Amino acid sequence: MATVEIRDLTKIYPGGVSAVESVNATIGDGEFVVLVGPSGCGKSTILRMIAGLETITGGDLLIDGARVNDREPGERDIAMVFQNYALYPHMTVRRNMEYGLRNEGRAKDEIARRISEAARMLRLEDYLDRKPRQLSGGQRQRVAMGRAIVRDPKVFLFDEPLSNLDAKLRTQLRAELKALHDRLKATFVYVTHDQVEAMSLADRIAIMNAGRIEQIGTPMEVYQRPATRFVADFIGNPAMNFIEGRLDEGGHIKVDGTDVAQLGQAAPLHAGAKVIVGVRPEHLSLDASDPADGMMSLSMAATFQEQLGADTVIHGKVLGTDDALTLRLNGIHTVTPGQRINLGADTAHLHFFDAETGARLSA
Amino acid sequence: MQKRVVFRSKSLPYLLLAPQIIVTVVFFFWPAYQALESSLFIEDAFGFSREFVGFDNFRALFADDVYLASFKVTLVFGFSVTLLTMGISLALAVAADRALRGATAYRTFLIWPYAVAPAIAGVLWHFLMNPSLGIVSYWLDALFGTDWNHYVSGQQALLMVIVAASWKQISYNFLFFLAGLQSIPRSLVEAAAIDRAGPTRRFWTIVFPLLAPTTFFLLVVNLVYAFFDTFSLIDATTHGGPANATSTLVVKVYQTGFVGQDYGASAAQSVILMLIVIAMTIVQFRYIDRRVNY
Amino acid sequence: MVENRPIGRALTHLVLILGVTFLCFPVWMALVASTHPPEALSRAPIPLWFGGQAWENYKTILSGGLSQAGGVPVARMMLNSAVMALGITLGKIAISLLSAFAIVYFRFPFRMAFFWMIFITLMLPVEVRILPTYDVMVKLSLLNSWGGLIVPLIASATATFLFRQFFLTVPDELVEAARIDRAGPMRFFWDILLPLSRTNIAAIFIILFIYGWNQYLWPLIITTDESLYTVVMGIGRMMNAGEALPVWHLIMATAVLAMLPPVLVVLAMQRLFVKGLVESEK
Repeated sequence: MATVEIRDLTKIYPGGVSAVESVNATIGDGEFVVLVGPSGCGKSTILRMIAGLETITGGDLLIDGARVNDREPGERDIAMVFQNYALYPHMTVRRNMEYGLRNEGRAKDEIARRISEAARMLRLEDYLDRKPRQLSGGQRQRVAMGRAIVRDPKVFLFDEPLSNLDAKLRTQLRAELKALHDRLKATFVYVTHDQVEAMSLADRIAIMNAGRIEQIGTPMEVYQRPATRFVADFIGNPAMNFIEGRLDEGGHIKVDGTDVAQLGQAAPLHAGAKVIVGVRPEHLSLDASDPADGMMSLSMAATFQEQLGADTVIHGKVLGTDDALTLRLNGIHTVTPGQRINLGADTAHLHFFDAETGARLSA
Repeated sequence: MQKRVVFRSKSLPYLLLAPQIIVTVVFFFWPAYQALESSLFIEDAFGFSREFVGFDNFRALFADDVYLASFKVTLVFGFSVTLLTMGISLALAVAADRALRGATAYRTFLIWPYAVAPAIAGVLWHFLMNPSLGIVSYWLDALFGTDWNHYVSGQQALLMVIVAASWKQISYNFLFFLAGLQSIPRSLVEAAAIDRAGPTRRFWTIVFPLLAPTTFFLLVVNLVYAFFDTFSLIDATTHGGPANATSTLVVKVYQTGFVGQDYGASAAQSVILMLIVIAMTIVQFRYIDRRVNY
Repeated sequence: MVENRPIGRALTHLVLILGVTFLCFPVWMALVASTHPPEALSRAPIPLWFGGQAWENYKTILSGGLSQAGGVPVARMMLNSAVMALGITLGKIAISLLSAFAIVYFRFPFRMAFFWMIFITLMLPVEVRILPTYDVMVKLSLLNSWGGLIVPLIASATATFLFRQFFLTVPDELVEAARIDRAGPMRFFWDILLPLSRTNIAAIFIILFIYGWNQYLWPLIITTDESLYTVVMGIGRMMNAGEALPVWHLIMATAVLAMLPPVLVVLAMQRLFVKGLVESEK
């Protein structure tokens, strides 16, 4: 097994478009790291640079401590699962899985052993002699994984492997992938734009934006302590609410004149600066009648609701403003458009960001 | 359009291209260059000496009534073949597109002449129209009292090669028109029907304009075919006769070079022909570019 | 169709039947003529139905040819045509596949220059530069040889463009997967690209085979050796030699034989043929 280390990794396309800007990360042995971000953020480019499919403009890529920038993809001891599977359409499942091993010149019996092992693990035994077009989407995806597994590589790379599948199958294969990782204990680098997938699979998540890593941490770290406003907005569904506040002379953050928090350390901002207060929809509650200590109170004008069965999501605006506000409640609730709702939020669940830079301010 | 990923190798792509490029240079570029060069010289019949004469060969050609006549023959022949072929093919394609029963069978019987060599097409029609025993010339005489003899009448000879050349080219045009018709969305025709356009009106206002790219493409292809690919058809039947009535430019360049052994004049004719092909290719390609952006 | 009026339907079929008749009639007459003795074809009107001498006529030309035109057996000419057509076809396909592969899957200096060189050959058909090409053949001593018949015709812009077009539609991920699977460029070409191109190769094969079989001018100027005569060009010589003689029954039998292979190829592989024809012109 192996570690992957990237140092100041940079990709500038011919023509000057910069896709990845000086990214640093270390992926530990056996770790499952998910790169997540909106499309065009550079996550796939990083994966493809690790694979060797994209030349590296600057920086170093180390696999197991060895610099592999200039090695061909076939010589990096990696395997990759593609979004559209990239199975060779004219070869059977068996031939697809064998192809890399044959090119390495492995012995016949070893190839046969590895294929049957992988086929058993992925429940593909009955399909080995079929062509890819005779398989369903989920089966094709498992063949693509099988092709990676038989090579027993140092690092597995996944490029949005589940996004061509329907929602139900995606959930099922997500569980299988997680089980596979537990079983292989190999190093996985996984790219997706789906934050639910990222949260449920990853040991650590790297959230990317505009060619940079905004934050890298465990799923709970990025949920509980998002390092930037971008991360806060990206992780969590429905997305976090943002309300504008101001910093006063005493280091207090005030929203609409009400004191909601005191910045802990010496504030990096001058008095009167704008601060963004973030609160997740699930951390807003209806019990604002008793403005106890440590609660921020808010009023909202409801516009519509989504009843999801277990939960109800209520959309509206902060009363008297145009700022959108979303509220997520357990159980079934009914609101009428225009209805005024008084809300409260535990200040422990509030997040503060510099309005200029988007950086997190510790309270 | 380009590939995102490519292989890296310094010499391999050149090796892969070598066979094609060598054949191209030796058998296409070298002769073309020789034609250019020779067109500026006069050579004696035995090839012992040659003399630089500038554009004299070209001047002589354009002063030669026989050569100018072959220009006219080529144009009449080319446009007649093109019109005849496209008219018949379009009618057949429209009918085949409408036919519900037997469409496949009709198509089979309409496409196979594509495989017949132009020379053979000429031989077949030569036989049908033979003045003494041809069945078609016999019928023409019986029905209209036509005295058919393409050995004597230049007009009749030209008409015969036009019919033979069109006969061979119909399949090709038919297939392209049919493909063009089938790519027109049914919903457009149905929308026009709902807008109360009758079948004839629908054809001329909806279908025909949408076929314009195909039509234009075929126009150029048919002219190129008639100008250059029909040498064998004419050579196997009339040899350009009688009295040069069927002597197109390509027949002329062959006869000047191989029969007349006039090197400089033949080379000058080659140069003129190359200019014509280049012009037609440019027209065709400008159109193809537009079709890509369609 | 939107409407289905009986008169319209009848007209549709009438047009198609007229078209089929026009296209088939000349070949019908050739078939009929090839089964009669020479006397039956000596005066108009000639018969419209088969005679009884098919066997003798075909036997005569297949083994002995037309004595007035050098007496080369048509069987020999058919064989020569087949060798030439297959040589041209396979040669064109092989070098076009390689060229298209180089142009699509590599980046190298002068890539576009080579692309245009291949393109320009479209503008230089042999009919246009007959004499200088003949001269080149003389200089290279390629007259009266198989090499001379085949090699100069195997450059193909059309096939190169068709394969290039197809390669561009092959998903990039397949190359990437192959590279990760340790396949170098040639292994990728053999193991993956070539098998995927099968249908396109078959389609262009039909078009090119017909092109090769139907060559007339090229064998006419390159061969004077009777053992290299091809059938399409041979029939031209028969016409020149035998036009005035009562040998139409033999000429028509030869014409039928000369049409047979390419027509059979088109009929047997109709769907592929249509695909190849329509796509190679895109």
